[in-house]
Amino acid sequence: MGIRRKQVVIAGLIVTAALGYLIFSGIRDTMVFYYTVSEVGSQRDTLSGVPLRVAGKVVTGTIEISETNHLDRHFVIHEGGFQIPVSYHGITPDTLVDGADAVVEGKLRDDGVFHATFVMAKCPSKYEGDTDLSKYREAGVAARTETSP
Amino acid sequence: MIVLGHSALIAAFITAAYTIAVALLGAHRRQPNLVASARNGVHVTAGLIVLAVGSLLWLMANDRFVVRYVAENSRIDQPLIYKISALWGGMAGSLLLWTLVLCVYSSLAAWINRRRHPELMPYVYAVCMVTALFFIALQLFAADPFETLPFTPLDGRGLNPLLQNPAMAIHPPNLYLGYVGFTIPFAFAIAALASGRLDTSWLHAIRRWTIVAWFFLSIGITLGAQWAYVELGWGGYWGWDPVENASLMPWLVATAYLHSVMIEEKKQMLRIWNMLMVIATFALCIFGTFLTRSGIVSSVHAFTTSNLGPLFAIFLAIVLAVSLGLVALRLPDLRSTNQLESVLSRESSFLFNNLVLVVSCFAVLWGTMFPVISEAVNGVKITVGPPFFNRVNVPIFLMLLALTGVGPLIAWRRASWPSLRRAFVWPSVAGIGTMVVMVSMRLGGPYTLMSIGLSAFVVGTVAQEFYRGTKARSLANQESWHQALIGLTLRNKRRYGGYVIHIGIVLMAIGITGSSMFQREVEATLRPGETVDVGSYRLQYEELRHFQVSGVEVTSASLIAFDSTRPRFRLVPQRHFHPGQENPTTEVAIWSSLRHDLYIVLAGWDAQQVATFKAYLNPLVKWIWIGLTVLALGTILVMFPDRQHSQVGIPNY
Repeated sequence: MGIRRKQVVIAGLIVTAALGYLIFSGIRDTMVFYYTVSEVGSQRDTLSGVPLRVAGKVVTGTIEISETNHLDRHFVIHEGGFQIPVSYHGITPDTLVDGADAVVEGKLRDDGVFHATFVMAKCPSKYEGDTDLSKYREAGVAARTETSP
Repeated sequence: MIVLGHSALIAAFITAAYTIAVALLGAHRRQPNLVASARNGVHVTAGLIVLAVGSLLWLMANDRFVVRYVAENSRIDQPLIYKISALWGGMAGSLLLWTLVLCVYSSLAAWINRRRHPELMPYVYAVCMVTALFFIALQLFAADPFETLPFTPLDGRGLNPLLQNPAMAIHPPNLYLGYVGFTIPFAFAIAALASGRLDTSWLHAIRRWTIVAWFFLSIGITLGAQWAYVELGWGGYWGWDPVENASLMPWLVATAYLHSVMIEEKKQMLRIWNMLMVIATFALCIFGTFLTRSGIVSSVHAFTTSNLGPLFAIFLAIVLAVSLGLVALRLPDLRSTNQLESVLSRESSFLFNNLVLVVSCFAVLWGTMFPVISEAVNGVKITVGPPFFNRVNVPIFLMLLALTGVGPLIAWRRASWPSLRRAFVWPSVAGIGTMVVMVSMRLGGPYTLMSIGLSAFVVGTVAQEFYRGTKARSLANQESWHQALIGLTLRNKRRYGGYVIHIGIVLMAIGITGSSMFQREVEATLRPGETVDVGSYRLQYEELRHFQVSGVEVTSASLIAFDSTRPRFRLVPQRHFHPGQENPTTEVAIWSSLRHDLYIVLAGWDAQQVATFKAYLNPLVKWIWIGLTVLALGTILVMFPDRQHSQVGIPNY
């Protein structure tokens, strides 16, 4: 291996090491634990104030939108027999409806309310793999009667 | 039609299997008639898949809701364009589209090379058809687009309203044209390894394929960003979502390959590396298709959790095992004779560009898969989000931007200091000058300064290259400046097209920097007549209206934007309630100019017409879409062959 080639290899190693450190430290400083509602529910005390991402389903009828500013929003997510109330300021995704799969990111406060900074939701039956066809059969009939004169 | 489509799929499965067998036998026994039969097999398979797609489209267009896929993705009063685009709105249809693109590409590759590369082609046919066989099998055994329901619904559920958007109608086909396009280079790579024809002939055969695939992938990714921006209503266009990452990763590796291959063509170096890049790009394309369909990572736009995950994982494992095994087998033949001569050379600058692109891809992959990795290792699921990706990738992209300026100007083999000074004085002046101006205007932090400064530097290098080339040509040929400029560009399309692509990238970089560093957000709850200030604009809320348009219930707010007391334009953010869908959709209002986008979301309202808005002022977003256009034009330029090259077959740049 010539001297020139050595130089290139060393420069490459330095760059790789720097980028490797960037990835390592990036993960260390920005990582967020990902739990389900029941996992959080069973160890509530230790998780208070820690950045978390929590997955659950929206409890039907719990989505509340503030009357005064339409941006303070509350809902409850449940999974495995546990429930967590969530508060969020901002626009929630359109897909956040009753029964939707929701993933919220934020912190659990001492009052037991999860203050979310990010909300992600997936509609319960809109996507495929849904075997309950009767639901949209009825919806289909309703839509049909509305549109046909 | 159902029977026709389904039979076509089954027949395609059989012809693909036949093609693989005949192609491999033909290659083994060196019998041209068998190889010719395999070539016909490729064409027939493509024809059958076209027939299957045609049947499904016919079923969609004619509202045959007894077909489950049609019932789930279409509706009677859905516009025809969305009945067609519903073909890629669901899982089974999107797999069919994947197969269609693959088979048409394979057929095209078979036709173009019908008299060339006799040793390579049988393996190319085999690899293409193995991939096709896998995707057809998925449809026949796991996600059948022609599956029927036990009853005939009166109407379907309709295409997800989020997907009813012009960008969404063309974004997935572009993405697939890109993704799937990398199968052909992969097939040639495997063919070169399997046949032992490891000279540069396979590289020449795939040159245009990689550029075409890269072209569509670039367009697909950016259109996806545009769709998210217009349709998702959170004010941004890129959220480092796993699905977005899945499309970015092959792009990063393919970009690395497009650069490093020039070193192999010129100096016969990096041969193993290039082989690995082609394999990695294809593997990442399969991986991306898998990621969006397996549900292993949670994502906003992933298809649902399905039983396809393990099948994809097995296919991916086979692909990697076979290709890496072949590389290991041919390792002695792949060693290069030439060596790097200096750290200051075009070779090493390309090498660093590759290193940085691959590390960036690795970081994106690592971050995307971290929940899975950490769970496997520690039993704890840990996620990383946009803060991680930005923190890692911003410095990486700044390095890339710098290399974009340096790479094309630095000499091959070994650069001397005087030549470096000659090449870089003016671009550096442009870059540093821009930074000084920005500092004096107190614009932005260190990253912003570097990003815009480096952008100016790159523009400087490209402008200088065009200037020097044009000047030399116009003096030598006694041509006018614009004649010389056009002549120069057309004479060496690959080089100057490459520069145009770099300008496109710079425009996108400027747009991304501006919109991510200087975004402003305002929330306001207003009565009709009240106003709110966003940047230099004053928005006055006029009224709220409710009405119906072709079955869709619309709630619509109107606002007038004043630019220093003068009314300038009206913004109409809306909410749509689609029949048969459970959730409403937000329709944002965007007023776009070169300086910034004014982006308004209707967040809520009450019976007294009091409405809440969220407004964003996003600087320079339009530059991203303009950058894409420039990039696309540059890529088209590169796609056309240079006249003198196509005859001699030796690249010259």
